[in-house]
Amino acid sequence: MIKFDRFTLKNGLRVIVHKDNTTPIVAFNLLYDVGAKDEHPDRTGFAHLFEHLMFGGSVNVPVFDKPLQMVGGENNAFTTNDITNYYITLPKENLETAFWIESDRMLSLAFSKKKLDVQRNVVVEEFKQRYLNQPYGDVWQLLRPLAYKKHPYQWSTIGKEISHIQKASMEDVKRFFYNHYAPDNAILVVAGNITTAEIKKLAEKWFGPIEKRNVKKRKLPKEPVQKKERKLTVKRDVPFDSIFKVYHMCSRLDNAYHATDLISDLLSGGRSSRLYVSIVQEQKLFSEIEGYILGSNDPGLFVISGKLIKGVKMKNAEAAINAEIEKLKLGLLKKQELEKVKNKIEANIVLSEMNVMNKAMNLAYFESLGDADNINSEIKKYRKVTLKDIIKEANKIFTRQNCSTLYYYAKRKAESKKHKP
Amino acid sequence: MIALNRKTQPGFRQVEKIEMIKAEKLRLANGLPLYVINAGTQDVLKIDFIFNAGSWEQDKPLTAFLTNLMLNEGTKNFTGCRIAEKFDYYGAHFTVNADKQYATLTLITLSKYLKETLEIVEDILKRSVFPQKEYESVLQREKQQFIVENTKVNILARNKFSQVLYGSSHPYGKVAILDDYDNLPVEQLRDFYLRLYSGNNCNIIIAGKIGNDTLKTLDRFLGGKDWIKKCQLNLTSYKAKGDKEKFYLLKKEDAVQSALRVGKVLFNKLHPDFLGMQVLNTILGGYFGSRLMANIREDKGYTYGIGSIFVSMKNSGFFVIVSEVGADVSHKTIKEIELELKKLRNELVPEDELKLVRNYMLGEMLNAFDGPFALAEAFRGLLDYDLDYDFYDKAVHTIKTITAKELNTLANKYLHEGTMYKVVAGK
Repeated sequence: MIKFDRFTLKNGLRVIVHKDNTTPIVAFNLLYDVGAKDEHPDRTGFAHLFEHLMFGGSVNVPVFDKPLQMVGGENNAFTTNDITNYYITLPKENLETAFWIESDRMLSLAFSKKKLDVQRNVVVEEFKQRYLNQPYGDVWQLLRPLAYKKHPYQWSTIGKEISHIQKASMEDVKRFFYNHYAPDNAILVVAGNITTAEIKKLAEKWFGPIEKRNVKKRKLPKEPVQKKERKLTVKRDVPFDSIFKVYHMCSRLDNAYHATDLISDLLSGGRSSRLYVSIVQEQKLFSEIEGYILGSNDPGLFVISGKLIKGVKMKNAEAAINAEIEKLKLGLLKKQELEKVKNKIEANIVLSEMNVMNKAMNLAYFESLGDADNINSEIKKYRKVTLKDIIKEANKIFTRQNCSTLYYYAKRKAESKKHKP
Repeated sequence: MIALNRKTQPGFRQVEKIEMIKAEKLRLANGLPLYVINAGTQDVLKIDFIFNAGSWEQDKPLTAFLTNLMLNEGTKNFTGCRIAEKFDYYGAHFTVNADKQYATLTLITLSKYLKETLEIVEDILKRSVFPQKEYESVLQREKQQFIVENTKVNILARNKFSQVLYGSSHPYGKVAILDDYDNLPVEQLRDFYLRLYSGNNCNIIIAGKIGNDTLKTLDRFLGGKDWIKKCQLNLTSYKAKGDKEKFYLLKKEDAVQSALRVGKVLFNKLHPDFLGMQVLNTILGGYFGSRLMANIREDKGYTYGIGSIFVSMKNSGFFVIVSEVGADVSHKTIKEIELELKKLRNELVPEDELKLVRNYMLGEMLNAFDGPFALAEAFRGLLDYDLDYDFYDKAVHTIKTITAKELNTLANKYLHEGTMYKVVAGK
């Protein structure tokens, strides 16, 4: 149970305060309701590039990190398809510095042309490091556009291609800032050994003067229901064949979310899960297998992926996955299996509440979904899921026409030589 | 109303005191030491079992790693499947890890399930059976994983770097190859297990909310004499035999980035210059605002990240700069690294930079003692070296008082750019 207080400033900034008197550290989390899904299809990778630029200096703070390091603090940020999240930890006594720097970069950015040039390069290197220079690194660049035809989830946060990042101009960047970075589009959470009164004062002082920017509500295209199964086959210079199957699933706020999440744990949560035991251990078809969900704000994806043992035929590997799915659709579970995955989730929630930064981040995320208070009913929602719910959702998700499959083949030696530049 | 001054940083204080809950040394009924850290608010426990059973102790590559990995593939009373099922059912996390020196087993469990989960851990500790059939599948999977990992420039550079630093006859320098997987019958793992996984060779740290019952339960499963036996440890002392050649290029034609390692063998935590070198390392590459980041990422845009780290191990320590950079700028990056090292030797660190690093490091220390899990890790950092908590007092003192002159002396003594090994994997 995470207790908190909540208030809203006149400019629309929502503030949440959580008291934890067991730590000398304060967590300061600022979430902006903007993600890669808010990008123009020809200018992708922007929300994430922008996150980098937010460290390039603001109107009164020329170097963002320095004052924070000077007070013993640390910070970072991440961008998803849905949100951009900035977070700081620092000693409690020095909390005001976090208010100073974060409010200043909400007030106005002030970075140079050189900063933009450099961060474009840094992001291009990130693109290479994570997506191009890794075996199987381009998988999501292929899967997203296969599964999504209309919705902006069809590109990943890094962007569709490097050239989009290279083309980003100063005007683009400014426009993006005023369209999305605003008190009325943000949620601040402060957690630590603090009082609500003290946070109210600091929030009014530093964020209060920033004007409301009347951020427009987003209107995103809805992804049409998939009517036919989709397949894509590629060959790459990797050691082993792999398969990736993605199915459309519900959104994070849907009533079916918790059952869906439990299905992914039944299939692939830990070494006693169905896919691992059956396909990896018993049938020895895969060297690794994963099943997980992208629990995104708009309808997400249920992912099953694995690397084949050398010599195993793709057809047989896929059939084995499908057979496990069919068993689940029939509800052929062992007595304690559902109980097991629920226990696991409960334990993980308890563990996640050990750390003040984690708590702050989760509160902000649940508030962005509509109500921070929902964080405290999660366990109950998982507990309520019945075998009937599992069967119902599994039958809804795992149909042939709802599936997109990527067959990712390893080039044979001779082939890979031929193709070398 | 006074206008808000956004130009000036609000007042702040340097972290003065770092409060920490210390580990208490108790004994199990059989006399084995047990280190207890009673902290935290959640009903969660973390138990580390630390054995001298890392690759230091092995004759053949991979013995320590695979023995450790096979521990929970089957015991006298439980099959591997049953073990996995039980841990999952109680929502517990059981992880194994073997490094150059130690093998560590970690159990994280809700306090209310300590009994149920410890019962399995006991069997793993005392009665693991190393079944042949399971071993074959583990080998098959691990071999594939090994092949995938070895296509990554980062892994290629890392392995080559340890090799050239210590030489292949040193346990810290020996790197496994694919064939090693085929030359290790399961009996040899069983022998390694029987030789080293014994109570006498184990340090136990438990952290979390500890009650009377907790200790009773530990005694029930671990307090018996049945896992007490003498161990023969490897007492050889090895000398790092670094290669003569200082520069290595591992070519990978299709690489779009190169992985870099620049560094050398130094010493471990027990050396009097260790703490000073930590400060120097932080300035150079130990935090986001470090000189390497400022130059190579934030000014040149050559990389997504670059950092340096001073690694301490039981019998040695080394310094290394790590990065992945655009394949076309590998050599430019190395030039810049050399310039930064030179600068540390030729110029005093400015006072404002030193002040910032002091404050930053003190804040980091606050984090390092926050919560029961962090406290356990901080304690382990002492236990592995038979150090006392006054090591951390000394660390605070060094961070607060070391001078620019002293740092400069250290840089000249240890970080001369000409003494560094350089490994590039990629182009």
